[in-house]
Amino acid sequence: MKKKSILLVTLSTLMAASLGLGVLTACNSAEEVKASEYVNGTNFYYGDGQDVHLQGWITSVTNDAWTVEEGFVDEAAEGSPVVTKLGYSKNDAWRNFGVKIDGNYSDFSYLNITMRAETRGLTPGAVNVNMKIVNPIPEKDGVNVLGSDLYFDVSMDTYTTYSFQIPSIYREILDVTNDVCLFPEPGIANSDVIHAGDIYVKDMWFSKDRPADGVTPVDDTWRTEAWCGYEVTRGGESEAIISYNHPADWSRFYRPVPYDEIFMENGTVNNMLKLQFTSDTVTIGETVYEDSVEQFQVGLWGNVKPGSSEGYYQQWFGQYYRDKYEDTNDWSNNPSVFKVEKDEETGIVTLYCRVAPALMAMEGNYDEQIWICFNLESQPQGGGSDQAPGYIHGPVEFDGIGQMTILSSEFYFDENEPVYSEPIVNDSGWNSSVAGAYTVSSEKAGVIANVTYKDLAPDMWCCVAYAINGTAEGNTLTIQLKNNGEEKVLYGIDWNSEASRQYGYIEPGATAEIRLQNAAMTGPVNLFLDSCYPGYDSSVTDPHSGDVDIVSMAFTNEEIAPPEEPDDPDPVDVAWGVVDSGKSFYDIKEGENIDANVQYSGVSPDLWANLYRDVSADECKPNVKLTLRNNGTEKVLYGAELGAVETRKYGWIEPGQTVTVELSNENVYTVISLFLDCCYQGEYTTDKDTLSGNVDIVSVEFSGEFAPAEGDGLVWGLNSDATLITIDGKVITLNNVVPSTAWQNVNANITLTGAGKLTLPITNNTNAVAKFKLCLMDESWAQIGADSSASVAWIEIPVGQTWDMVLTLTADEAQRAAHIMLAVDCWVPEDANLPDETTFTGTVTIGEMTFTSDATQPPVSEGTVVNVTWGTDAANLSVSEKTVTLNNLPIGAWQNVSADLTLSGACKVTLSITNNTGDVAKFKLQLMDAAWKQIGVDSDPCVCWMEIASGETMELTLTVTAEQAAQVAHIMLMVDCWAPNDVVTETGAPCPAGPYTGNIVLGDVKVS
Amino acid sequence: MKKVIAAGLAASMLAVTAVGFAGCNNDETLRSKYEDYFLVGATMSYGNFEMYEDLAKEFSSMTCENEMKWDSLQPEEGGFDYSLADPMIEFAKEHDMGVRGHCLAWHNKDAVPSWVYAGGFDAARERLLTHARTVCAHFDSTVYAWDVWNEMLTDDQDEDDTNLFRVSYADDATHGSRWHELAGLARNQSAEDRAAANQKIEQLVVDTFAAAREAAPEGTKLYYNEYFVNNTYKCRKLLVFLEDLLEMGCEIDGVGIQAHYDITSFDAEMLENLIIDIHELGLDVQITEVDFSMYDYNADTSLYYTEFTPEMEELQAHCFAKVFEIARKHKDKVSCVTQWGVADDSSYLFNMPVPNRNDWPYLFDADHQPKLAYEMVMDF
Repeated sequence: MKKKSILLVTLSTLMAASLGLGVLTACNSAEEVKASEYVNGTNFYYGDGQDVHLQGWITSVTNDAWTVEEGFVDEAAEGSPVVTKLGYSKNDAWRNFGVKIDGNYSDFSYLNITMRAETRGLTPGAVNVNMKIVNPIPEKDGVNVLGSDLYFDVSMDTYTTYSFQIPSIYREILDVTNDVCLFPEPGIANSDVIHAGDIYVKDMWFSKDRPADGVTPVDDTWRTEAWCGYEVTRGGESEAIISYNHPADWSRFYRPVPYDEIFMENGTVNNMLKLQFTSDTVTIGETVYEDSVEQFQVGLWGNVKPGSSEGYYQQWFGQYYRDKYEDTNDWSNNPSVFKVEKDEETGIVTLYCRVAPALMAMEGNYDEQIWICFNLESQPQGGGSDQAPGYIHGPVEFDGIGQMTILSSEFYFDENEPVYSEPIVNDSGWNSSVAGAYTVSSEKAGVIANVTYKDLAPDMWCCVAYAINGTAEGNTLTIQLKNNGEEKVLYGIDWNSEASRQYGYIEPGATAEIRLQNAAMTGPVNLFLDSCYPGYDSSVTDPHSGDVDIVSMAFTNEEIAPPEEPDDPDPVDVAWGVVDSGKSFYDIKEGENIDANVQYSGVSPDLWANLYRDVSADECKPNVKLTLRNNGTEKVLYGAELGAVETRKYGWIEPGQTVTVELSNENVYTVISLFLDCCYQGEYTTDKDTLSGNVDIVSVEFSGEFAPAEGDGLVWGLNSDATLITIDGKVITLNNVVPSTAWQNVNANITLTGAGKLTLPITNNTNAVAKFKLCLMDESWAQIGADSSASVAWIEIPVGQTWDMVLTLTADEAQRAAHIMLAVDCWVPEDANLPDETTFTGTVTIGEMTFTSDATQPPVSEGTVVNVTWGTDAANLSVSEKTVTLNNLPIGAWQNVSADLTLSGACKVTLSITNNTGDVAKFKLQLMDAAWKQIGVDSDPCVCWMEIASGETMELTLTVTAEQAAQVAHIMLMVDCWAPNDVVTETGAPCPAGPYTGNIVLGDVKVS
Repeated sequence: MKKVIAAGLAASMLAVTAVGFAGCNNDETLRSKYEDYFLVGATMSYGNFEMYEDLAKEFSSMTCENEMKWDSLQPEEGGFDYSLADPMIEFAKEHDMGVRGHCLAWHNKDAVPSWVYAGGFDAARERLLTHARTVCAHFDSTVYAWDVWNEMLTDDQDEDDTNLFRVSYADDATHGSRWHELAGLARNQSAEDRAAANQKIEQLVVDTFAAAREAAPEGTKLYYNEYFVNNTYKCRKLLVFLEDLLEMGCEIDGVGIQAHYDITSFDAEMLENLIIDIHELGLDVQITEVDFSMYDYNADTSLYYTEFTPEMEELQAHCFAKVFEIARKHKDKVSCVTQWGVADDSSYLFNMPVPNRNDWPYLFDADHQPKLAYEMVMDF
């Protein structure tokens, strides 16, 4: 080690002056520690542990507008104290007063300042200030050693001591920093309004303990965190200005909301938030970004949520997209959507946000804090945070550059909006299927649950549902319901079976006892209260309110009686059927020399429940003559179409009259729809509330020939169940399709030869990311391949984009294909990427299908058996040959068995699994490389997911490319890979509760 | 996006810095200065220990950075290999440095071969105990202290005393522990299952300490080693964990507090409180891996400094000084302070978490000269 020069104490003092090192004592010195002193403009602390009272105020501005007057007698204050008067007049945003310090100030835990302040002007006002101790480390000067930047209004008439506890995590920085700063009206520059004022400082000092009269400033201003990459400043009349240039993923800026800003002292709970902002122009270099705010989400955040990825309890009000949002006054019955108003003249955007539902959804987890929180152009899309982030769900990409000025954020009460009510305890197991529709409480004594509702639409078809985990205790449920209201209540109730749903009225004050049976003993019990009128009495149109108790529920095992034999032993064998909503009104019978006779009563003129006749590919012709005869005494209005509303024709049939309706459709269709006396609209009117009739469908004649198909030869038609979509050629139109419920589809006949890849481009021009499913059907309309196989494709396509859907087919699969089906919108509620939109509208365009034969594929064969040895290191599994025993395997444990495996070349790997666990189980089959890393991603064809019911055997298939095959070292089967809140796909029931016992039996691993 | 920060201070300030300080006795070293307090250690690796011949005399303790981890000592089952560790042990002996053994059991997938876990919990446990016994027996009295278990606790910031351990490998393949997975730990499990998994994990720890105790010579100290950074919730979890272990009769002698920090966020108060709390349980404390990086490990991944400025050096010096000051104040509780490296010419921080990034985390500069931090640590 080199010898260094020995320091003198005086030299160390000089060094301290330039570097802020503090004075180091000689190692053997027994000198007393010197008292603090103010020398040459710096407050030196030498370590005596006594409070350091700071002096020597300076300004960062060298002009006459900023003044420091020592020894000022403040006659306006009580006692006329002698203070330091700091006067400012701002012509720039970030100017400050300050004092210099030097020494090991880490000895202290508090910075305190006693002051008052007022703005100058005709009417003096409060001065907002920010106290800051500057971190001297490069690029860390934005970090305030006092913790987060605190903006607060200084008291005006009286002196207040403000105390700042220095966070222990930053305390060491005090040893090396030099500047304690006071920013008046931080961030505000001079404008048309003069920003000037005076701050009277009685004292500022460091202490170890909080002064007895010290107060922590209340800071309810907008702020962010250093890691985020937002710059939050104040300017002019705004609450905050937020600038950003590629903020970090999931950044946030927020304003703490004092409790009484929402929960007012007079008992009112403000249920609305009005936010006003401008989307500013930003110039970076030579690039100008006008109207720069492209996307954000805003919501309420509450307490810290330990162990969660979000970090906090939070409820987002909604998503804002600059290029999508227009003025909307339609809440769409969705409490999570905010209303947007844009003033084109001023550029001010106003959001009206429903606060009450957000608070109630947080269930009281906001007692420690409430923030209004923004996440502005910082949601990741797979890329790194140093790239322009995109919004992970689509539909808008943004550049991560911009500036927002928040003009105001104001809570208020609106009696016409959902009001806040205290969190209701509900551990009954019954829950409303639509948030806010029913209020369910388990707090009422003597009943299982109390259900209340207000102004429920009669056709809303929402229910309270009782989820049964696994199987119930018996196959018969006896349930008692009591009507506490003053109006009769219509109930519809079923146990996981719409077909066996029971309806009935409960008179006011009465109790109804209902018996439901379910042989499988699984699935939810669904109770519709005053929301299912179309299923019972479609004449009811008024909304209803009600109060119903679920008094008791009892599960027992009883004999399930077989279904009653119909009075007429001869089944009706007609080609015509009626949609579900018409089943209780239309009665279809056979008839002599006619296709069908239809009798109906109580039909509402706008019921729109159609009869339908499926049309096979063989009989489908472009022209149809539909002959109808009216046997009744009143004229009948008909509407008839060939698979597309554009082909629909209306007309009257007088009593006794026979009419022949000529319909045509140049595109292939698969259904004829017929509306009888339920399609009144426009020029077609009736003065009757309900209608009855008797009509013969005499005959249907097909004629003509379709023009030869161009391109790929596929002629797409609408599935008979599709009511919310139409198709014209290759363009599908969606009309307010509610995501996750519709699963509507189009299909076409298809003939394929040989193994290969079928590619179908799909263009999504709807208003939201849409999910599609493409598959092939055989002659009997059975799907070819499982949902998870390579012969079925699933895709989520962002708005405005065209993506290919690809089916990989074996020769056998291609040979069996008779139809190709495209399901449009096949979201399920649990889907991670389910968009927030309540409905889809727009078009989807089907591109030209191509089929590439794969001559290298071997002929269809069963595959070669590969001998593998299964093993496991899982805690709850054991393997003996091909039997895997499950030892109380918890649900969601993701335990696995594996075996070594090598593959040569592209191939298919199949493994059959028999589930003997007693419950449906979810499996994942995958391949691993030598480092035990999964080959491919979860959605690739080389990964297979399968839910297998108990007692069933299913085959899992992996489709492996040559490149992937070269990497394969192991095959791994995950046994039980449910995720939290998973549902069983087939039944919609919650996944089993577990744990699993029993075993699964593995078949041979086959490679073909 | 990288942000490259260039030096921005006047040369005069650098010149002032260069004057430096010295203790009153120029022959003093860290080890001699702290002789009446605690051991002072450094971490070396097989690739660099020979270049620290000049600095070895500063230290009374040495830790092998990687050469005593499982994958180095037993890369294949039954195939023990001491070829990397033994030369380092010899180096330590030559320079009269005690050796801290690091570490017998860990979750890190880069340091523990996957074969260890094959066959389920019981098989893995047997392998662990065999490993512990064999390794402790081999090194015998050359190792005065072992980190028996390392980094088991979760970083979650909550007060849930049942949420102690880091997530299982099945739930997080990057940070999770296969030991915990084998013991049955899983997300979203019932309270009953969580308690059972915790019990199983803690018993495993007890058994490992017992195996080490059985094989190591009398007097060898056995530690649980952990990083806390500034996470006070984790401190609480440690205490809950330690209480459980002690109740189960674990042969634990103390806790290693790693003390990895960055210069602008160092909670000295938390460190001191933690030392006191551990001691109150009757356990010794060693600071085992102290370093002061210029960067926040998680938040500053886009920050690149090109120069070690005087402000950085000064702040770092104060931070190191504070650590040693606290340790001196509690010399009845702290028996060793080790930095995780030796000098600024070699550090894991040059490539973690960001590859090829400058850092200056130690008491000695890249030329093996004492920095201001060294001077301040020596100045008492």
